[in-house]
Amino acid sequence: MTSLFKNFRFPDRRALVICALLAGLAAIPSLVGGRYIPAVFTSILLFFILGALFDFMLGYLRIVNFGIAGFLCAGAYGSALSVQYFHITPWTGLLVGGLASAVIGLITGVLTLRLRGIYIGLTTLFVMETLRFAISNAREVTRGASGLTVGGFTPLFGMPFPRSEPITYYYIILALVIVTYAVLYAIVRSRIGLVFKAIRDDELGTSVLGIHVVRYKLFNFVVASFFVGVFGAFYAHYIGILVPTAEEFGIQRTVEILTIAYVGGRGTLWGSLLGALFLVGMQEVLRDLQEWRLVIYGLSLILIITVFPSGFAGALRQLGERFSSRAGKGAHISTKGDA
Amino acid sequence: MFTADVLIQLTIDGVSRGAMYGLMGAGLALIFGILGIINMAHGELFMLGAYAMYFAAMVLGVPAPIALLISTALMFCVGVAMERGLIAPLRARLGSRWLVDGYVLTIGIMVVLQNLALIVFGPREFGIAAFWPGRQEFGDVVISNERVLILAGALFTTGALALFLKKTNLGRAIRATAEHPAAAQVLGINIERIYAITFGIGAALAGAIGSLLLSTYPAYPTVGGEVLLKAFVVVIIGGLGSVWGAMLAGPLLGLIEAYATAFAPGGWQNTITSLLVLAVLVLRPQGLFSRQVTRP
Amino acid sequence: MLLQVRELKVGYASGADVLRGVDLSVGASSVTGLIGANGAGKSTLLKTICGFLRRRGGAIAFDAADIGKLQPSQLAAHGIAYLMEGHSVFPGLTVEENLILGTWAFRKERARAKQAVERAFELSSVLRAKRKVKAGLLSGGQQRILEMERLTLNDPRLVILDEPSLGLSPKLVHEVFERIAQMKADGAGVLVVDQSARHVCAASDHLYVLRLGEICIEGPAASFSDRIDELVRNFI
Repeated sequence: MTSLFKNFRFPDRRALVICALLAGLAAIPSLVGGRYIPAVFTSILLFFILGALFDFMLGYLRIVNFGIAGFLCAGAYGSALSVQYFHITPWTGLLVGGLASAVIGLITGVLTLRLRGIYIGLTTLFVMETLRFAISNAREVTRGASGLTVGGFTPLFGMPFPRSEPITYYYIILALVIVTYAVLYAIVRSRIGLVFKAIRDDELGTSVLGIHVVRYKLFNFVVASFFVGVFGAFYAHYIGILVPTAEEFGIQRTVEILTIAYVGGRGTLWGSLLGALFLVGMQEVLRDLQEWRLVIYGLSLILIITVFPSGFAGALRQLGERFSSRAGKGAHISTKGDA
Repeated sequence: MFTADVLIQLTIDGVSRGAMYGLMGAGLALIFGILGIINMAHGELFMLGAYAMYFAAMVLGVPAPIALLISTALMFCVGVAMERGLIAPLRARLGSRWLVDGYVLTIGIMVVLQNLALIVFGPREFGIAAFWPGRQEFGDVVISNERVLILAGALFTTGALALFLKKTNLGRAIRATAEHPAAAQVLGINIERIYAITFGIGAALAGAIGSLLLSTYPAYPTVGGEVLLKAFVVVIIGGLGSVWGAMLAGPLLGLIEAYATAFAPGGWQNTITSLLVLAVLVLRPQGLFSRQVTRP
Repeated sequence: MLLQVRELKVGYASGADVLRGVDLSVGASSVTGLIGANGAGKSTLLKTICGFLRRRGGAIAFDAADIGKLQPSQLAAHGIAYLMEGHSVFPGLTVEENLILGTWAFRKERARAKQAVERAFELSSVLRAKRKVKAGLLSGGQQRILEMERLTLNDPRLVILDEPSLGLSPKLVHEVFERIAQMKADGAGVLVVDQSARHVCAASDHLYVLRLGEICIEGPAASFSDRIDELVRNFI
């Protein structure tokens, strides 16, 4: 048994776990069927990937994107408006949404990533608010607060995507999540990811080595913005109506995403899945206590930061380490450095 | 199209509202100067102050000036408790790397306070018609008594804060701690106490303003969000951590808003202000008024 | 002895001690010099005495009382003044405000505090001329003068100086060491670390040489005055 496991390097074992998880995620909603479970799982996946994207910036480069909901907004309206006015398909819209968000990310990044961290947080926050205010005011184009209705995904290769069957949308987002996660995972596992960690741990030291810190930050930020935009576009066609409120595309949405990343465990990417399962699950269980939902978000955030900073992912890892050190005493080599 | 008296009216409106923004910003800047974090829960302190004022004045029937004092003192305590109970332990644990977590922590506090308020008080607005009904007329310029009161309150508080920081030992110690905490310690200043007191002062300012503005901004759970955004605008224009900058930027923002509301088509003034803020962040991140004093 | 350090061990990372058992004492009305190469642990020693670092072993006694658990903010109340490495003026505060803060430990005795500040202005014409100027706008030398004056406002019994002459012009270096002699004449014990070994040796009564975390040589400063160059060559 132990000799079998010894040949697996830790990340590989984790890759296996991830594959199993994804298979489960694909299977459960289709096996259960109905409309409710697929909708809940869609929400879980959406929040998972947004949390992971937030973590991609925060956990790897300490970039705090307080305006992440604004990038979601850019993607959503970018796609919805181009479908409405330029008659592209929602599928192209995904790309358009991603690009719209990436362009805003590029401009914001170029202007602020050379400054101290707090300026990035504040600038992204105001980018988000500017966008939201502009959309509320440009009523002729966006219909402002009365809401922009958006059509669903059009049939692809003869396969229809009716909104009345949420499972079809669940498959779309599952595919998108797998692709996005694979890209993020590949980046953080590559040499670039190594540089990210070096910058996170010692920015000055890294820049002294001749590494162009701002360029790496910009790359990270634009990649994250692009994917956030893609999921914004997905969200637009999934939800069917866009309203520029703070709950949808303002501070409150940012707080939800940020909480998921923190609760899940920063610097892990996959931790957000646990965060999303926990928080979305909690929300579904406590449906009757709607108003307590955000209190729970806030309390989880406070608790995680003050009591358990490494989040669920950290808890799992500690558990795993305790288990493996008990099982393989003597021959055990700590895998902590790998993580 | 706009006569002189309308302009005067707009100016007075702008300055009185702006002075309040300035004070909110000054509290935020004080806290930022000392702790290095943006207190995202600052708007909720404003909200709690407003509720406290409402309950003291309307439910308990305490005379308004005393209600104001009660709410301010209460918010001072809330601020100190927040710093001691949540922020100080985090700082002690993480040392110099606590900043990001520090402001995310204040986000958590913001969310909890906001939604607890929603649960406890419900979404309804608790407001006061006016502390001092009636109006003053100066020729063609008509000012409601409420405006006069707010302007006087804002000017008084601004003056008191400036005097406190400039002329008292505690005020000087706060400024010194913001600039060089280790040197302040060596002189005998207990900087942990300064952190708590500064947070308390910031909270007390927010509470006092929430109380004073109860007739214009009634207390409701999400009132803090809007106010926080104004305070952000003010500290960014004035320069992060600059209390004087915030005090100046407040009236400036008030004037811009007042004129923009009058001259720009409806609703766009918010977009204009946030674009302005982005411009400042990008072109002059140190703020409009800061002359940086550098070390040789 | 005013200050006694016994067997002091300090380390930043576990296993690698920066100070490996240092013994040192400072008497009242005397100047004790401490010299050593960069990285020998001089600043670490001073920071530990002043409560910015925690020791791993040994004892620090001031006036025969243990001060190993002292917080930096309690220094002033004990009558210990510390000039830390680098700049320590408050750049955005005026010269006068900087001095007033030097009286923080006895701020409740208003008359005494006020008098102390006025005396500092009487003694230093440079500071008098810049009274209302922000300290950050002073030259490096003027800032050092301000720091030295602020240090002595509450008549400390022990003055600890970390590199007081660093970056100063020769004339100012001379002034700084004169000021140190003045502190001694006023009855204070002075512990001074400085890179200019000759000046330290000339100003000190007793001299310690720190090398790789240990005191390698000590003795009355006078006994080193003729072989200070040799000392510098060998140990610094």
